[in-house]
Amino acid sequence: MASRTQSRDIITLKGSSAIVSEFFGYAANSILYNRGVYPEESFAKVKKYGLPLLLSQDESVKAFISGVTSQLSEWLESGMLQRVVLVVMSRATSEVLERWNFNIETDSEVVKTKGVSREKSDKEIMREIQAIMRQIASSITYLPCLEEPCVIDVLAYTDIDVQIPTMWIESDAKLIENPQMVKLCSFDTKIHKVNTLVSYKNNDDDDE
Amino acid sequence: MSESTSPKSGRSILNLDGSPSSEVRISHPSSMLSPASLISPSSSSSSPSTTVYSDRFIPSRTGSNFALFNLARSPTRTASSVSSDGVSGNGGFGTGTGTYSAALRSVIFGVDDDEYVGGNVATTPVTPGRGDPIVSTSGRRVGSGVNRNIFRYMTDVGGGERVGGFGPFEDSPLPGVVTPSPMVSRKVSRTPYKVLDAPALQDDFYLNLVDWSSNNVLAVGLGNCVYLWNACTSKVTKLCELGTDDSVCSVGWEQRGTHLSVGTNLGEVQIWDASKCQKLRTMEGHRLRVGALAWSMSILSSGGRDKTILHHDIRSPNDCVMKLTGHKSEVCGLKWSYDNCQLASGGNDNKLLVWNQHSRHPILKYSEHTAAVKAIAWSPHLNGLLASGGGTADRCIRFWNTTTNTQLSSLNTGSQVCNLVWSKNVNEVVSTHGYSQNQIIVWRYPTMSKIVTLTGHTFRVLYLTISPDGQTIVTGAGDETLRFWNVFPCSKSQNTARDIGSTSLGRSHIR
Repeated sequence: MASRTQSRDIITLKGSSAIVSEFFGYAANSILYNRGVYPEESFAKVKKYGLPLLLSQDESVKAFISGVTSQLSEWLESGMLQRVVLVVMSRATSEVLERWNFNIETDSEVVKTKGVSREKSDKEIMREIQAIMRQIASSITYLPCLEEPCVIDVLAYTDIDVQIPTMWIESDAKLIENPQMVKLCSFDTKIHKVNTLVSYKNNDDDDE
Repeated sequence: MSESTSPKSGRSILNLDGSPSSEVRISHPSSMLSPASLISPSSSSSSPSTTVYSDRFIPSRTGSNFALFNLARSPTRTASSVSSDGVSGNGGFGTGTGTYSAALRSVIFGVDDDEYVGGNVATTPVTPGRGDPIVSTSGRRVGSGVNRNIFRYMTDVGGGERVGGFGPFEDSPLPGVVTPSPMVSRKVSRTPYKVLDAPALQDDFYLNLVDWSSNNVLAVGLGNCVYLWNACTSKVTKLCELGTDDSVCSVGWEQRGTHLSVGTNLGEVQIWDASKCQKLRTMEGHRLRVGALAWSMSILSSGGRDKTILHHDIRSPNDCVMKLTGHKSEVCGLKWSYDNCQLASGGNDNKLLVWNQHSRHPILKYSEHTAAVKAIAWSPHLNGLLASGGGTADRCIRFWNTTTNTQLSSLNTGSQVCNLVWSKNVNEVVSTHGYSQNQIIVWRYPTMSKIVTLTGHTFRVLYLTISPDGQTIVTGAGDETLRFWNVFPCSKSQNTARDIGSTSLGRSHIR
């Protein structure tokens, strides 16, 4: 908690970007754990957002996620980021099985003018993030089981005039045909509003 | 029935937030979810910590035990997860043995591969169609909307050419301990550094109206005139003007950059001395327009609407030394290989033919394209490697090995391929496209991963040529602009210079 706030309740662009990119890191870890992309033993429990969350201890995963979040936070600070998607694909067929979509709406006034900040209670933001984390964890009740080894990809939708950073390449959207969609909670720092949605491949034999 | 959420010591109970007003059934995932979201989003003005659910069924999570990481992946009955639960269920392994147990588990049990979903293998970029889940306000799709980019985070995690995805790999000795060696992709500017006006640049797929000489002069055919643009001095010279009933259909520089060949609508092939701006020769032979030209040392090949390809030797008094027949429709693509031994031609009959220097008939014939083949490029790095691109109905880039006569790969790009150029500085290919984005894509060979997509033209990008130093490409389209893009690095090292590098060629004058 201390890392995000300079003074309580005042949210700056930098602070908000930090909150959002940190959220994405934890959400990605949570998805990796709950969807079983990585073995459960490779995760360690930490307390965050008032919940016990699981972070991967695997070095390559940590490096991957920290690389992603550092770039995301850079983009968030410049207001260029529109959306982040975590794509879960089958390792064998590269078929997209799930798409965790985090839509980001940025208050452009804050990006354009320096020194503008917003006010929102830290607790409130934390509560909202907590709700999303819980929903991610509970999503396993309705998401089809991933029976095969999977790999993930992180897609970032940015504004058109953004230079490609190193470590990122252009990609297509990796959409799912006829997906099922579930909208999760959203959280709002008053500077960035993050909407979460998961879409997954429609399993035909899903007759519960 | 309300569920209290008081966490007991050491156990946490998971619950879903949400206002009690929405009807939610967790155990029956319904197929239509959009208006009534399964889990309501709400501006939760509701109670902070202890929530009361009046008329909702929430599965009891008392059985789940976060502390032991024993959260079953799903209520599954598959053998693999049962066995995996069996291994991991014996209390929490310490983090030190976590990796070991994961390795042990994967080696012993593997992961059940037999029943993978086996859907369609998405090797092609998915054309965004129905089912775009993110249609919020405007239907933002890759095909039409150009107001954003999509980037994918790349890590090159050993094990060959995995074009996508990051995840645990069982074939590495210790899963989860793979050290990624990140592939550094360079930054390519997405805006042209120069845009030249090109009035009367025709919007005709079958013409080839731009070419860049080794002397750094760009020749452009506009209407019935040919203009020369000197890249070093930025001066424009009008080379020639054809008759009023004639127009320029193709231009092609000779390899040393001294002579320019011009193919006209009436079927003539003219040879001009570029430094003196004098016409040296007019060669007849074609009955209809000459849309494609290609030089090989002293042989100039011209392809026309009359379905023939003519070889002209400018040293010989005869206008034409050999006539090649093989195409059944207009010849629109023509390229000699870098060793000057093979000629590839593409026609409106969807055929890609390969000839050698002395043959009157094609030595190889490829019919896989389903549309006109105008885009042809030989690889400067590997002898016999040929790339071709198909038009509107085909949209594929195909790679061929002409020495073994095989198709190496085929890639659906999603829109008609108008041109292809293979970089000699790096192993990358540029393709230009038409409907609907009119984009230019730089691909890395052989993985065919996109390095950058450039947009800006508002008409099909029909004309493409590359600078002599191999760093800049020029594209032309019916929107009457020529755009210069700096896409390739210097062949020796990264460059930051924006100019065309004329001095590196050691030549600053036109002989």
